[in-house]
Amino acid sequence: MIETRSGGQLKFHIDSLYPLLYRLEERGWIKGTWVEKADERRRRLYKVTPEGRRVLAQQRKTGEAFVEAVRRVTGNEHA
Amino acid sequence: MRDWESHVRPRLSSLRLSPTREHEIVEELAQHLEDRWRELVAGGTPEDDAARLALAEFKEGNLLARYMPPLQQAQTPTPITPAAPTGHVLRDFWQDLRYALRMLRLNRAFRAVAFLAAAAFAVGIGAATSIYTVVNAVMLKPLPYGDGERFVAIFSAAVNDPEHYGSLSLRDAQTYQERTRVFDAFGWFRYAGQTLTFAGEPHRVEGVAVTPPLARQLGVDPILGQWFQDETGIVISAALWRRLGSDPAIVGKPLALDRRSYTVTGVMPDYFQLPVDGILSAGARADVWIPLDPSGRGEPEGGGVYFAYARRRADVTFAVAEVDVKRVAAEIAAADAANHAAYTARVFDLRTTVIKDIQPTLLLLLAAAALLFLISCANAAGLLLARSVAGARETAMRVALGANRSRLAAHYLAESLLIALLGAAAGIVMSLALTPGAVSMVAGYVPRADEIAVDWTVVSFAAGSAILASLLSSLAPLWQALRTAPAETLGRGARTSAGARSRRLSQGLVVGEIALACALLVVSATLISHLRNLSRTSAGLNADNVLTFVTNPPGLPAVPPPTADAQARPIPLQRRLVESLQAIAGVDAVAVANQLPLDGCCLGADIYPEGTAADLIAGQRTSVMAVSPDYFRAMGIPMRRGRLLNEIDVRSDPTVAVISESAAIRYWGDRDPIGTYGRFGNPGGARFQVVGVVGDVRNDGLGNPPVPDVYVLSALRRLETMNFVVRSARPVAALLPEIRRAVQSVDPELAIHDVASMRDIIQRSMTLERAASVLTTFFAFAALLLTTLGVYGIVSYFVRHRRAEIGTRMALGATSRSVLSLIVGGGVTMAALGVMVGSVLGLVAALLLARVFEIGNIAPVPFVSAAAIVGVVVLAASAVPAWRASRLSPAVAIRD
Repeated sequence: MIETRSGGQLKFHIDSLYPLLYRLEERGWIKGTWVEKADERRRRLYKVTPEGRRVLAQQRKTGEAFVEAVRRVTGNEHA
Repeated sequence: MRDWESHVRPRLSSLRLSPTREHEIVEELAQHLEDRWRELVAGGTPEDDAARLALAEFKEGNLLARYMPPLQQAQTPTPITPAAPTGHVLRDFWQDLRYALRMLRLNRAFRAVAFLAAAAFAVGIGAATSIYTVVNAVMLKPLPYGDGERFVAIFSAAVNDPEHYGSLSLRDAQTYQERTRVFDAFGWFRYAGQTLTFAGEPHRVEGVAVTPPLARQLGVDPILGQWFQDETGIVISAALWRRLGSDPAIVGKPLALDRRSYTVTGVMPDYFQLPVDGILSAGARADVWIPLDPSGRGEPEGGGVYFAYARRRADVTFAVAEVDVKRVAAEIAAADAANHAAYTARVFDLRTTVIKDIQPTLLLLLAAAALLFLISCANAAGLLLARSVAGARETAMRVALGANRSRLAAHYLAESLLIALLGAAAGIVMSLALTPGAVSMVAGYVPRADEIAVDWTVVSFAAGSAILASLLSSLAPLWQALRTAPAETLGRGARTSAGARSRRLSQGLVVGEIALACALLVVSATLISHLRNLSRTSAGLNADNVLTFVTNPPGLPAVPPPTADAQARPIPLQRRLVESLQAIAGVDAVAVANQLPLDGCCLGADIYPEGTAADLIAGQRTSVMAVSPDYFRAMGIPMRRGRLLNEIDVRSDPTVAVISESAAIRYWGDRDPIGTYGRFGNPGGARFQVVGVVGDVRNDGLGNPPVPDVYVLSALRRLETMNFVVRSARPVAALLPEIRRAVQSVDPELAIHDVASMRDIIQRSMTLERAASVLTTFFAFAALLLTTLGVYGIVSYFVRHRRAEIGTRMALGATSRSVLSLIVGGGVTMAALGVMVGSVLGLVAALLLARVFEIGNIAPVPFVSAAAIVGVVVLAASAVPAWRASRLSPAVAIRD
């Protein structure tokens, strides 16, 4: 999904993705749960927690500010 | 699904994940790979290529293992499974402690055992600690003087009476100071002064006149000001200073003691005492100290009542000091034989004088607490043993893995130490609650009561008992574990291999508990019956409707009376007070006396009947009662022969006296004392004629033989303290205000104090006995409770382990009833053994008790009642699990 949404720009591998997930989970930003369905193996689903949402919003803001700063410095509209 | 897990798992092996977590991660990653693989296969990739592509997500090297370690879930602590020793004793023990702590957190069964054992320890350690708190303050701490442990008290005594001792005369005190060679501090004091006037307000105080060098040599500095420099100086206690308004500028202010003026030179700290608590002062603390001239200038003629304190030189032992003092005593007796028949000196370590009365009681309680402590150890040991039996497989595994004896010992010690420390903490809290209650029960009888507090010695005592408790209680499980053969246990299961041996051990522990509890019960029952006998003992007087109080005539010899006029003045005062009190409606009789029976014994004097060899008589203890004529009627003391005293006897010469029956027997033997003569003090002393004999009064305590009494008229003497005895059927609350008015109508400055009914005084005389019996009973019942739990625990534990056997028996035709009797029978056997051992222990304890507490004879009642109580309790405790066993369904029991 990440790969699709980023148009192949962002690619996660199993050995970097899961440690990342576990780390996010330890910080309390996401929460994983085992979900069981009939005739299927149980799967682990991760949800963003309210705390995670708050952090995300904040980081988005700083991210945008950063991009804006770079644009002003370089004068490049397409930074 | 393909086998992805075998690809994932090795990549996690370097991480220290908990097994559960590892399993989860493996499952999750395997799913990820499976999904990826399906995706690829669905896209047309051949299966094997798809698998390779999916696994290619694991890049070169083990990134997973590199990214994971900072995470907490990868931080599982080093596993601790105590087995082979690592070579570092402390590290091993630390590991054992951590392991025990973890078990406590994680293992519910262990937590239950630990809780029960800690509760048992709390009772044992708490009881021991609270008694130790008192013992520490009262008996162990040195007196609060500089070099307090070197101080001694010197008394006069009689060679033929090792029990008693008394004050010194001034002359003798001076002689001891001059001639002894073993002291670097020496001085004496006497009681002086009781009415203090400050800023116009009179206060009742206890005054002491002390030789100034001694005051300074006690090594306690005033908190304000300094010790007196001349004869007008006075030093007051911190308590009195507060009573007077805590004036920080009190030094230099004037006050009057018994109408003589002094200037305050200092205030002593709260802990300062002179005299120390104990023999001389029954609860009353001195409030003021005035100087006493060592040369004797200004002291009353003819004796007086002095007490000497001295400090041994640092290089002199107590024994050497005692020999030296007795040498001087022999010189004194040789030089003045007439006044010193059978004379010697008695020297006490000053601390001994403080604790002399209470020591046996404290030691008894300490012993009782020690028994309770042992029972709690046995109880905890039983619990831990049961647990170690249940954990026999674990032990076997450990032995198989290389744990040696010391490693196993450390393991059990760590477990029980942890539990004992928890118990000790609870015990300290418990003792904080228990101690004040226990102390208040003997209020006034515990010397140095204000020094009783939990300090670091008490805490280390509790910690020490915890260590001892853990050592003792880990022995049983250790013994059990050392006999564990690993192969046998692992092969056949714990039940068969551990059963019989550990059952015998547990039963042994419970029998021990029963025995100790039984012994404690015997002791407490003996004390209770002793107390009951005491309270049934007639005091020799009729204590109903008798109210007593004390008042002190003013103008007491803080300084001796300057003229004969002052000497004469208090005599009419006595009579005026008696007459004024008699005028109160509903008062049947009023008398005054120099002392009251059962209220500290006795103001004594030597008497010498004429016609008897002086040597036989000298130094025997006799109580001299100075009373007004109506004393016998007011107290209800029966007349036996002759007549009583009357007002006219004041003028008779020689003095007339009435003696008690025991005095008649001791001094006159078979002769009729009526009409014969005797002398006071020495064979050439003041003459008196015996006119009557009255019944004995238990003046020295209900449990002690009466001290012979000689009654003379109080009007002939000056009473330092007037004890009034009022017989009236009216209630105290109504009577007391009228008494106050009557006293004040005679002299408005007279205050009355120490109001008590004669019944109260009799009750008070049994305080120590009562406290001892209440506290030992308390301990005995705590012991009984622990034992009940122990019996219940062991019986139900073995019922559980013998379920199969019981089921088989029932399947083969045993009735519920026979199962019941099988199990209860086990309990009864333990009880019988325990009671037998306990009775022997109890007998030894009771014999000891009888010697120390002067209990006449030991009755069988305490033994019978203790055995009965133990029997019933054990029966009840084993009946519950037995009943449960008898209700088992054989099929269920065998299957389990």
